[in-house]
Amino acid sequence: MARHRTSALRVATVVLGSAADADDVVQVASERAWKAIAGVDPERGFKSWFLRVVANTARNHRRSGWRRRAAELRVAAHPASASTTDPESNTIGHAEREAVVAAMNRLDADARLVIALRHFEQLSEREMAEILACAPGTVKSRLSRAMSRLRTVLTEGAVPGNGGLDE
Amino acid sequence: MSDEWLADDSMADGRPADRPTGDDSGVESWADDRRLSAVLASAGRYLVVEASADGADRPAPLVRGRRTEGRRRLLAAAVTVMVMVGSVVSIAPARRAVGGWLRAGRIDISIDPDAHVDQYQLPSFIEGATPIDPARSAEFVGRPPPDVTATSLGEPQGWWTVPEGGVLLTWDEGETSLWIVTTDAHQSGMINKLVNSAGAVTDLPNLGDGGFAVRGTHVMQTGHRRMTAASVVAWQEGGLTFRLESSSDLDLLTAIARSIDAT
Repeated sequence: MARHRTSALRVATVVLGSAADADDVVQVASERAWKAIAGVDPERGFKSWFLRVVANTARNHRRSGWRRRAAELRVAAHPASASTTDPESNTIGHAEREAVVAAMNRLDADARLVIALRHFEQLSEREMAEILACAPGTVKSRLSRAMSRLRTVLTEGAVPGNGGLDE
Repeated sequence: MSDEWLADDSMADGRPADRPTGDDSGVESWADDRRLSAVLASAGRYLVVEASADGADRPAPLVRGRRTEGRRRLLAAAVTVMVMVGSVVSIAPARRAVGGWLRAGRIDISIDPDAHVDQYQLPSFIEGATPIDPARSAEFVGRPPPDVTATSLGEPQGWWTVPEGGVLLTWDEGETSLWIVTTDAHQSGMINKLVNSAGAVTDLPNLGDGGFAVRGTHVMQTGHRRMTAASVVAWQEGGLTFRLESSSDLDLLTAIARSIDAT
């Protein structure tokens, strides 16, 4: 499950709002994906298709019962590897990472997901549209709204919208 | 598993560094789109995505995460009912290889349309094999290997062992080979195959447990080496894993595989 497993885990974690069940969700999504592999549109990327299965599985899991509470995403103090690919990232401190993730925790799951797809996974609007099952233009507006809400939380501490609890 | 082609496209971004300016909230930098994007990207790489029993935070792993034995069994059960015939993954954006992975039996299969699997200058499976006395074959399999002389392959011309264990029987000066290894020794993830499309992989539900075929040249990697392989039929039966490789017609290979009595 190599190539896309990390992305799948991140997407599941962001949608769930916690790493607690992400591994199980990715496992279930992987089994579903295998069974439906013949349905992959060759005109589209496998990754987008797979992450869409993961996101939908995570949504279903979150809606299935008890996990209706504020998100509790966290960042690790240390990276998984010492390798460096982005010089700019070396100027970013743990406090900043904690601040943005804490702010994301105060957004709803859909806002977290659209931000994560763009900024965590570095996906294009077209790829995001395939995962979110909407038009690229809709992705743009949803991302704009989500980022605006994120900035509001970051700068004012306010919680726009539903207060960050998962719907 | 340490596959170069399986290396995840995400990675940690190096040591945590002190912020250049400002307090810990970073308030003054959030209005800067580029800065906020960079912080978000960095946060994604440090995001804890695996809950651990020891309480340690774990950011996005670079390789396959843990999986319980129970899940492996569930996975194997799911795979046996999966049909992978006819599916094709293609079209790779220039900036990122599009691909995927499948698993057949205990063999991982990676799909990468961009991989030039027929152009790698890699050794074949038989290269690196060590000849053995056929009388010693049971030592390498844990039991006498099945008698294959009754199949259309006939008497093996060569008997070998390979770094991965088990015995390798060869015909036609190594053009056709049958690797037999105990399934216990054949751990999950021990073998990874790289193919250009899912369509190269065919499920063979009536061939042992988890039988499948890979059509055409592909790359095979084990914990010991990386090789180029021709068409392969693989399956598990009677506590053994079989891998029949040849450049012959795949239907013929499959028929031969079915004629081998693993008991």
